[in-house]
Amino acid sequence: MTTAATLGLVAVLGPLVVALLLAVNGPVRRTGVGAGALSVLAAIANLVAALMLANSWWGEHELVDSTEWVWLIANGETIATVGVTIDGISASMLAVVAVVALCVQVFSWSYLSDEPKADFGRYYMWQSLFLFSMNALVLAPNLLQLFMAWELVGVCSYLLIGYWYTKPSAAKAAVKAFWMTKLADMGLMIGLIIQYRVTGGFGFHEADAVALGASVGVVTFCYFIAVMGKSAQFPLHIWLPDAMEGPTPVSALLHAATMVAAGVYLMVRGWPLFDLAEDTRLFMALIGGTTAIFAASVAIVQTDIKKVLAYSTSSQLGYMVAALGAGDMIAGYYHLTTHAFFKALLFLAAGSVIHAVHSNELSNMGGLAKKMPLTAGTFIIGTLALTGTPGFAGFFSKDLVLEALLHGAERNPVLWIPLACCLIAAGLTSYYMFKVVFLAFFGEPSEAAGHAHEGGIALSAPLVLLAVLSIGAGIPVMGALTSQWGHEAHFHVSPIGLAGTSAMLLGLGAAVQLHYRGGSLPGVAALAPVGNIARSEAVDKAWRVAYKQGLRTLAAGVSWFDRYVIDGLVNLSGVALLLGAGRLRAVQTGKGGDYVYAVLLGVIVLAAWTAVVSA
Amino acid sequence: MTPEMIVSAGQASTAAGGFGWLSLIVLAPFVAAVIIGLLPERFENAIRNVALAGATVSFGGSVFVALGYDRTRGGLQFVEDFPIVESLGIRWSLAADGWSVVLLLLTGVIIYAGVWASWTLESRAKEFFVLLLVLVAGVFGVFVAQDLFLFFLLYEIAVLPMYLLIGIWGSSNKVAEAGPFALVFRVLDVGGKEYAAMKLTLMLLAGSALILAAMLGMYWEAGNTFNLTELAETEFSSTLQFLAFPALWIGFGTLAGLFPFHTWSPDGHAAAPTAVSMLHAGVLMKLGAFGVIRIGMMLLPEGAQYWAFWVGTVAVINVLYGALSAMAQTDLKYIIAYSSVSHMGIVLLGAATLTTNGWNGAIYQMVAHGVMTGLFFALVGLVYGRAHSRYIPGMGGFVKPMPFVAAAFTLAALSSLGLPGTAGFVAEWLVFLGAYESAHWWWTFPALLGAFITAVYVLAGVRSIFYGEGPPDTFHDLEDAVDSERIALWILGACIVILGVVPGVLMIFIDPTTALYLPTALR
Repeated sequence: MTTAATLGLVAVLGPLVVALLLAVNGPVRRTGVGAGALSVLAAIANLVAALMLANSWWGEHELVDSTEWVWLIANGETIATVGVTIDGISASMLAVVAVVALCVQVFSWSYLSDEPKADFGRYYMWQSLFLFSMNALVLAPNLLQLFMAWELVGVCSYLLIGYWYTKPSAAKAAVKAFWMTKLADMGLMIGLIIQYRVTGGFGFHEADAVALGASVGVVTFCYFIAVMGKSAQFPLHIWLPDAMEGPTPVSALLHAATMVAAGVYLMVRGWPLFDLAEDTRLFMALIGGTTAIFAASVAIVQTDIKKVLAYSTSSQLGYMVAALGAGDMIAGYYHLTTHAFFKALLFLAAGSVIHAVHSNELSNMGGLAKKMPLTAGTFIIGTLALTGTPGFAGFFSKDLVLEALLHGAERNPVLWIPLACCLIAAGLTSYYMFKVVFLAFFGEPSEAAGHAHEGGIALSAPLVLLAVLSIGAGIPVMGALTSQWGHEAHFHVSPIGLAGTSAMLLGLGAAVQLHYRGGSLPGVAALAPVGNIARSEAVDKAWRVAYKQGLRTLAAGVSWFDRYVIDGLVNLSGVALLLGAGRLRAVQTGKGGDYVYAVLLGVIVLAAWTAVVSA
Repeated sequence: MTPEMIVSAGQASTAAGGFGWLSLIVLAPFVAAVIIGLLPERFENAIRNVALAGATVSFGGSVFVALGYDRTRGGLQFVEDFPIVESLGIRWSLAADGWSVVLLLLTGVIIYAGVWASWTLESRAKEFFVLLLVLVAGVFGVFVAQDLFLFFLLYEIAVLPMYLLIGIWGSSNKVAEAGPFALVFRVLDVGGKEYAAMKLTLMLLAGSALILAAMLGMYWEAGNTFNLTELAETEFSSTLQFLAFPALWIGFGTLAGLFPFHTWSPDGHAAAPTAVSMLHAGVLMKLGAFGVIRIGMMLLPEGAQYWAFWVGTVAVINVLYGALSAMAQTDLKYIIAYSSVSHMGIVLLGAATLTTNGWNGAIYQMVAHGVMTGLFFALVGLVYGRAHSRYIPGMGGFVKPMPFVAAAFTLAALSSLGLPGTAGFVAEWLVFLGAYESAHWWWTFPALLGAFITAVYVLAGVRSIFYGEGPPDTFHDLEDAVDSERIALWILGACIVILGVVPGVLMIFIDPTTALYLPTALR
């Protein structure tokens, strides 16, 4: 086995061993701290392995190291393998996941320190299981393993959202997240089934794309349905805001940086297929643009800091999807990596705030910049990166996304729509993020905020590291990523970039005027109806109706049919037999005379029968 | 590959030097039953230990057969053949192929876990274990019988004790029905354990009558032989194939929960005691599906191909219909029972595809569903035994008093919805692949939808039972699984994960046998 494969296996199996050990060994798990230590150790080993891999793949865009084992056979021939594939894409993604995962696991240590020991251990067991699943997804040598890991990260999400299982809302959110993504995953399953039928395998390389021939459109479309579920694209995004019921570090890792990005990663991984599927990509661009602007609008009216960030995540994933739809894989993937850092940072900083004020509501915050300067500073850095402030990581990646859409629009005018959506969304993003900054960290402190104080080193160290990355993951990462594919993407000042920056400044201006200076803006009142629509949760309600009035009613109908028609017939035959037998029993009178008459009757009938037959 | 090649591959005698391993597996539970029958009632521990010993011998024997089975040679091995009724050509003829090996293992695991799950049974333990062991002897026998008459005989031995097991040790859950059906419900005592036992027995016997008719038809046309290999070589007339296949399909299918002959299953499983449900849903229902493939499709290929469209279409109905019905239930046992109806649909669908992946998946699903539903019913029994209620909306927050049960239940639920990494996924995935390759590709889609609906109802169930604030005050003696029960849960849970992660452990047995048998069904 090659060194690379060994490192890949360390990344995948290390967390798995820890998760299994904690699952099987109750006493160790219930020590809490011991479980956490094992989990963090695995995460450290994972980070070391990932960085070594990323280092050796720096700029090596043609090198692929794949180690696979037979997993399923048919007629003695292999139909599916499992293993680790290391190339430029998977090595870089592995590193991103490893950094965020370690930050989150360290952060959680302090964040959840008041939890009962057994629950603390359970939390880290699931964190390890998640890290295993995510790494298995990233390093998948084929789309089937990717899908299997995809489902596993979904389960980890389910378990971690429902971590506080006594909270009914958390239990509900966990199930909802699983249902929505599972519904979408049917697309991935159908796609894989068709791909297997056509090509006899589940590969994602150029040869597989060519082998798919005309089916590449339908297959990629099916895959994209699953992406919409996983990456919270409109109208399948409704589970993501609810998923905020989980502990905040979980939201940072799963529901901002890595798991939700798996959808985008699937498309990056399967890019040879998507590259050939023009129609699917057009659809992707439109969905991505719609999500970007829709989720950003909804984020504006949220009062819960985590919900703002959740909608923001959905919106930013829309950018990535739109970029991929426009045909620029690097732009989408680059935005994924920068977003992973600054959104994880924002969530962890928000977690630090929530930890201090014991509330998610913005109204319970305010003036925190003085009490928690580090948290405030890092949150602001995250905000600057997210809004695309020049110099920060998000600026470069967002610029690349917008340019990708512009280039696309030059070829296909329909792409002007997602481009416009993304530009407007950039302004909205800037507005709602700075609004959060002003409401949480400036102005008059609320009562709860008065007692707030900064957390310990375990809380602040991850914030600092991610803040550094949110600044530094700009040009160097872009250069590294683009060189993976053998062509350089240079940053240059362009009209579209200026438009994006202007939108950002407009949003900032609005936020300053409305929430820092407490002033007013002309025309805001006219936007009230839009706000009402954003608050109405119409999409959520539509899904609820489909579930309650659709599926549940259908199930009740089928059940009724089963009980009273199908089983009714069975029972009816039983009753008929019983009642009929009861009638027939009347014949058995037990009187001698009756039997003599019966015998006589028989004789007569027999005689008559003989006569007829002989005649 | 022709039937002759199956014979030649199997002609070689027993791998383990003439010792009757298969007879040992089949007869050990029977002998244990006889010994228990001779023990006085008050020797409770001795009774349990003898039962466990019988189960252990069979389980160990199954493991030995799996290890001793020569996979490079394939075909029928461990052959045993003695005449019973020479004049009629009935023989004690046992042999194992790759399918038998995995199904023996499944049965061994389930009965072993089942004995542990019944360890704390208090009422009339002696008779209970006697019947349970006789039943399981029949199950073991069916999977290795190479004589059609013996097959049928053992099949009936497996099915009939169920009447007493449910009628005596079962539980009633009276339904007060008003309205137009009140009379019917009152006359039949719907919801009572006697009703359930009677319904199950009568429906399965009606199925058996169909099997018997088809069997005799084949016996006469093949020239008075019951030998499965000889029957497989016989070219039956088209009329017989056309008529006998549906008889076998419906006859065996009734035991496999085939729509619309499945209604014994919810009532029967709900009324049955824990170990009986485990065995019944875990392995007995598989006898039905096994019969459809091994007897119906392999002996009557023309009939099978003619009827394949209907077999698959009804199977798809099973999957969806069972899942939707399960969704509407509020009784814990009914949910699991309907989910069995749904999951057995996957087995029959796999069979109907007449493809390698479909058949591999069908056999794999037999094992996967057997283990998963065995675990489910063990847990349902545990919950019911402590909560004294099966009404799900009344439950909630059970995870606090019973975390182990909650974890095991979640695992079973995840396997049920086909989560990768659990046994359920491998099986369903293969069947989906097979269905799409078959002549009727559209079967894939309703089957997939069924899998999604499964996710909806099992997770809704898990949430209502285990999540939420502490259990309502009405529940007094909720406590976690005790040690003897945990053994069963650990074994079954480990099987689910192992079979989901390394399907190769069974596939190396299943796939070559499928490769050998599928051509006989495609003749």
